[in-house]
Amino acid sequence: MPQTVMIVDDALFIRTVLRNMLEDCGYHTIAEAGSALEAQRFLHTTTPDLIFLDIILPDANGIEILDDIRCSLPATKVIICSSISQEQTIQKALQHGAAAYLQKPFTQETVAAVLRQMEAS
Amino acid sequence: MDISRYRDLFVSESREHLTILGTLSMRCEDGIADSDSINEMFRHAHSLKGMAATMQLDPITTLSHALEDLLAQIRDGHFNPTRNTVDLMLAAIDTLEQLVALVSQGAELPDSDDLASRIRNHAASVEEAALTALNPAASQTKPAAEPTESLFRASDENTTTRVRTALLDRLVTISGELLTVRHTLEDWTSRNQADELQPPLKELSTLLRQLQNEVFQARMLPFGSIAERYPRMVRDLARKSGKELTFQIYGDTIELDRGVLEQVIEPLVHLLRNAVDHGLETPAERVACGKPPVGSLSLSVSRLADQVLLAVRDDGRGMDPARIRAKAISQGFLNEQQAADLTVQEILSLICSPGFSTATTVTDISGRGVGMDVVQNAIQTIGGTLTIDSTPGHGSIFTLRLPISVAIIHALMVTCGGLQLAVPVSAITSTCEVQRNEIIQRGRELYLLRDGAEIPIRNLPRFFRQRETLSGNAILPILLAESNKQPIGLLVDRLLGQQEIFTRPLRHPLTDLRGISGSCLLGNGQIVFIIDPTACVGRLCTEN
Repeated sequence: MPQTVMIVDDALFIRTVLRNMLEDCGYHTIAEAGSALEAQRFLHTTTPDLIFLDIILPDANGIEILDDIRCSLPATKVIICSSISQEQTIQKALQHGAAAYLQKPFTQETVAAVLRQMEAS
Repeated sequence: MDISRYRDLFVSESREHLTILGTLSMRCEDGIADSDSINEMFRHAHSLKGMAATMQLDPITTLSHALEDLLAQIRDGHFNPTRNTVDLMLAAIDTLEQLVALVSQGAELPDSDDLASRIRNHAASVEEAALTALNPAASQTKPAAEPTESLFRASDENTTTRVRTALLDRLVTISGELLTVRHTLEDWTSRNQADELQPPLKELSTLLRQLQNEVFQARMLPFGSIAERYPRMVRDLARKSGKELTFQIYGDTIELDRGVLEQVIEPLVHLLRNAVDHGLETPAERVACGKPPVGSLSLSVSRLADQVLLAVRDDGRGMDPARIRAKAISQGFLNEQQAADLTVQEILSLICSPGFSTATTVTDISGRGVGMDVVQNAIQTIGGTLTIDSTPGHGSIFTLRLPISVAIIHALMVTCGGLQLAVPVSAITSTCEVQRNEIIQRGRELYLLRDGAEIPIRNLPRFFRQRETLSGNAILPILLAESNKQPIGLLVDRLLGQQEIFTRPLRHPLTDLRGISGSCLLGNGQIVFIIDPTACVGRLCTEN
């Protein structure tokens, strides 16, 4: 059974590109959210295996909602996906329990690499 | 990665970000930008940068990155934006818009390093000035930021510029007035047989036509410019109401006048909302009637001669004409006899009657009608029509037929008694002249016999309470049109010929005149009303 994914990013463009890349890797995107609120609403009813979470969202900071997600869905792995490249931000994300940090702009290769890393862990 | 498949999505979403950035930048200039606005601007610049980087569009990435950093510095309180700062922001936004336009054309992008570094230098210098603000002598020595200039040279083919809609409206008005002046000149020239004026008049006509075309072209926008809001809205509605659906938009590159576009935003919101809330069933209901659990909803745009068709189509439960008919009778909208005469189309359009559905709680049909009268009014105001097709169990199609532009139209001039009237050519299918014996009377109704069919006829002079002149005529001119897909005829006294007219909307209380949709001014100063044929006919429209 393919792994299920949720994508949280305010840009429809990014969600579309990422969804297609994930599909090419055999992952099934079961939900897309454009804001933290939308994401949280969805997570009340469904548990994806993976969440790709942007940091700068219209209504929240992705890293700040990481704790909530980890708490309510301990089995779900959250991958922070952002164009912020400061080491400080990356470390903060990992400290808050991010399973990986996918740097934007991502490519099919970097997405595949993160997925392999998730499968191995 | 094959990025070209994402180009349209990138372009439309980028434009959305840039539109918001533009609006909020103005607020900075007006001094009313609070930290929320700055934060929001930062987020849009940041999103754009991320998207452009994914598309590997370096000039857009570089410039939006510079803009993002500038906004971050303002957000973090390093300095307050000055007028020069806003100029630079707007220059960046304009340039980004130009770059996105080039992306949409598949053209090569020029680099944006110069403007990006000007933005970075500006941020550095203003920040430094802020730090040395306690020492005015030092800050005065700082050169002001350079005046902004476009990244592109004036000779570049793809230069674009922002023009306020109000300015475009004025240009349309002026070119419309020129049309009226031309008619005046033509009138005078032919009355005075001033032949030497004919050649320059002809040239004036050609130039005016070109001017009109250019002005109208400047007002055209792709349907996509308003369509981006719908997928998200539909998804949210579907989630809220527990519906599963796929939503597709077709033909979003088709262009319409921005005035028409602005007027259809809300009606489409309404039609889509009705389709999700009331048209489509829940997955369980769908499965129970043998349908796939995921419903389908689409918004398609197509061009038909000088009209644009917008169709909202769902594969939901559809509407049952029998139930609508029964409800219309029970609510006193019409009696049994009237109801029996109605076609399916006419019955379906009963849901557009004011107050039709609000009075009961029959959910499956009541919801479909809420506010449909408002939708229909909005569409008629811009010279469009709404038709409804529906099959119980299979879904509904709401079709808006709209003029591509609103202000200058081709009209057929007719007379009815002492009244001259203009009929938009787009509103009629053809004209014909018939013998008296081709028209039969049944009760108070007139019918034209044509190819074995009886086409209902409306006596237009009588409708507008004009003296009837039909009795003396052996040959009767008739305008043929369609109302709810049924052919209808309008009997007039004389056909005067076609003319381009500049339409003017009516104001209250003239807006209450049934059958009249606007007015125009002729070259001789005469005011002529524009009629809406579909509003003058139909058995629903009684003569009193």
